[in-house]
Amino acid sequence: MMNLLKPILDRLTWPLRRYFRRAGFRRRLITVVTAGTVGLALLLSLTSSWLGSARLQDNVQLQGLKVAETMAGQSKLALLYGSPENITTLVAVTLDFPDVAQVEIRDLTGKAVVDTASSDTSHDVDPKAASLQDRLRGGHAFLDDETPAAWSFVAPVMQAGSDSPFAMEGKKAELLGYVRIIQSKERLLAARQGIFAANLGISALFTFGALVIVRLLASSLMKPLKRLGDSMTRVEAGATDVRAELAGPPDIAKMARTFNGMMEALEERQQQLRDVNIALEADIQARLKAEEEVRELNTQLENRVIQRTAELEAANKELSAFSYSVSHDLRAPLRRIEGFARVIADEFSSGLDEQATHFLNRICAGASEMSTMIDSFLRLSRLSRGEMRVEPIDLSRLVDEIVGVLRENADHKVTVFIEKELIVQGDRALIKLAMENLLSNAWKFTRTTKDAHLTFTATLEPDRKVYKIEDNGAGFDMAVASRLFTPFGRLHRSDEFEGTGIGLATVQRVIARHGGRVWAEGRPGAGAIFSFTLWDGKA
Amino acid sequence: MASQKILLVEDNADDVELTVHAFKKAWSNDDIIVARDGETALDYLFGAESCGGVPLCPALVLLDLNLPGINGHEVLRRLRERPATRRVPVVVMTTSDDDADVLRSYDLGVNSYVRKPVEFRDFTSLVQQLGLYWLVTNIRAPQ
Repeated sequence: MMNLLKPILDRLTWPLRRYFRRAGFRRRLITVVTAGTVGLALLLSLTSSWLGSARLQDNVQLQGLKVAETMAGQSKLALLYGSPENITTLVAVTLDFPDVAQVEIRDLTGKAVVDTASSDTSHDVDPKAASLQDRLRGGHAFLDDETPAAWSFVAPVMQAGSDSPFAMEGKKAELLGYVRIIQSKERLLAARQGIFAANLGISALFTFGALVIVRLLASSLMKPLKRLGDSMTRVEAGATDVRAELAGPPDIAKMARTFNGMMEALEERQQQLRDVNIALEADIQARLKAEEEVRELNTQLENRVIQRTAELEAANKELSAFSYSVSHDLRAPLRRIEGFARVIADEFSSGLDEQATHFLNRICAGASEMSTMIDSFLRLSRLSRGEMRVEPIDLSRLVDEIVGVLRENADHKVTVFIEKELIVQGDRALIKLAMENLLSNAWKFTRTTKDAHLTFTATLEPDRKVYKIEDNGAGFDMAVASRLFTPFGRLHRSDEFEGTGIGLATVQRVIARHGGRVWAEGRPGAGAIFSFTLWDGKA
Repeated sequence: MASQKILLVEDNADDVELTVHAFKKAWSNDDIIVARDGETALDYLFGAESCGGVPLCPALVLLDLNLPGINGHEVLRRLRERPATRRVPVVVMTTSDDDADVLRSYDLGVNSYVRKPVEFRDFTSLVQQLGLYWLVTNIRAPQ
């Protein structure tokens, strides 16, 4: 049911609610108080006027009944003798009574003895006479009829029973007739209206007074709140150092105090923020400065790098020029030594004994050796410089090719095993050179071995990959292994195995340039294993 | 063969001696003209007054690069500039086999580049080869 009612109520109260929604606190207060007061006043006035008029009505009614009874008491004779003359005075007096509009005296048949409303009473008969009989016998006046304009009171006229103590039997009261009084309500109604109007007037006055008072009170009550509100507005607009007055009722004062506290906290916070900002600014400045320094440092470093690189290049160039001049300048006199010695040995041998020829031959050999050394030295120094072009190289295939060439030029057979598909990253020319050296070494030192064989494999150790060239040739004593890789370091007599001893130095240079290491293990007469890694074992 | 002259441009006396000796051994040829420096070589080739006024038309020029004064490359450049000497066969014969030297020589129009071996026996063999090729096998530009 409420579901149906609610929308209707909402509809009806909507304008009111809209007004209320828009109204401020002060207006709401005033409205509520005024409405309350008005309502209360109205209620009171209505109640009091209702009560008042009810009381009045009762009184007037009572009066009417009394008049009827009195009249009835005096109407005995008139009814007994059917003559109105006796009673005219009474009737006139009764008529004079306020509100009495009509007086009737009727007998039991309803025939009028007196009827102030009609001029001729001979035919004036009350049709209701019979119906009233029972009630009349009650002996009291009663309200017979009522219209909006008047009451009709009826009172019985009784022939009193004898009440003399000397009578033989009590004589019963005998109904003679009745009296009717028509009392108009005119005055009552007027009085009622008057009461109501007066009450209303007073209420209105009261309401007005209340309104005024409320308005005044509201203003004064609102003042502290309004001031607080103004302070807040000022803060919102950007004012600083705003504090509210601690005036007015305690709870408003409390609000003001809280507001002040809040403002304090806010300002403190702002100050903190400002301080933090300043600190941050300083920090940023410091950072910027540090960055600037770093940049400068970087520039300096870069310059230094450029400088060093230039120096390095210059040094390299010098070295290059030096190597060049060394090689060619040294070779020229060498040629002459060898040349003249050779000419003497070959063309003047007739004048020479064996020893002389032999010595001359030794001179030539020495010169020749020196020439080879110079060449090796040149090549070795060139290995440390120059750019490397790193690319994938099939080591297995490379080794196979080199072995092929060695096979063609060699005079002894060697069995070769090459592990397949060993790919590495490196400079093709340099790697080829290194492998050539290693393989030709292995080939050379297996010359005197029966069933010579050579293997090229790769082993995967826990942290690196190791390539190995193993032969079963002459081998070497590990005690002197340290000399293996030094330039011109040889472990065998030159008449046993030729070679300048530069090959392994070359290998070491190449491997080093490829970020790897090379080492050898061997036993005299039991072969050797040359192992190397590239790029620190990772490839 | 006898009428073919060889101009040897070499500054060191010992080297000259050895080279001439080698040629003699290989070809029994002593028709070698020696110029001890670059200027002299050019004088010979251009026919300067100091060298008889008549330009030398050798069958082969053996040019060393290490020369006092103007070096071998400069000699080569100058003689290639002149039409008269543009086509004469020039073989650089020097101790160096440096890439830069080789490249520059070819850029300047040398016909061949050989390195003097240290062993005399090898040198003799080289001389023999050179003579055979340049004086016999090779067809020169017509004069």
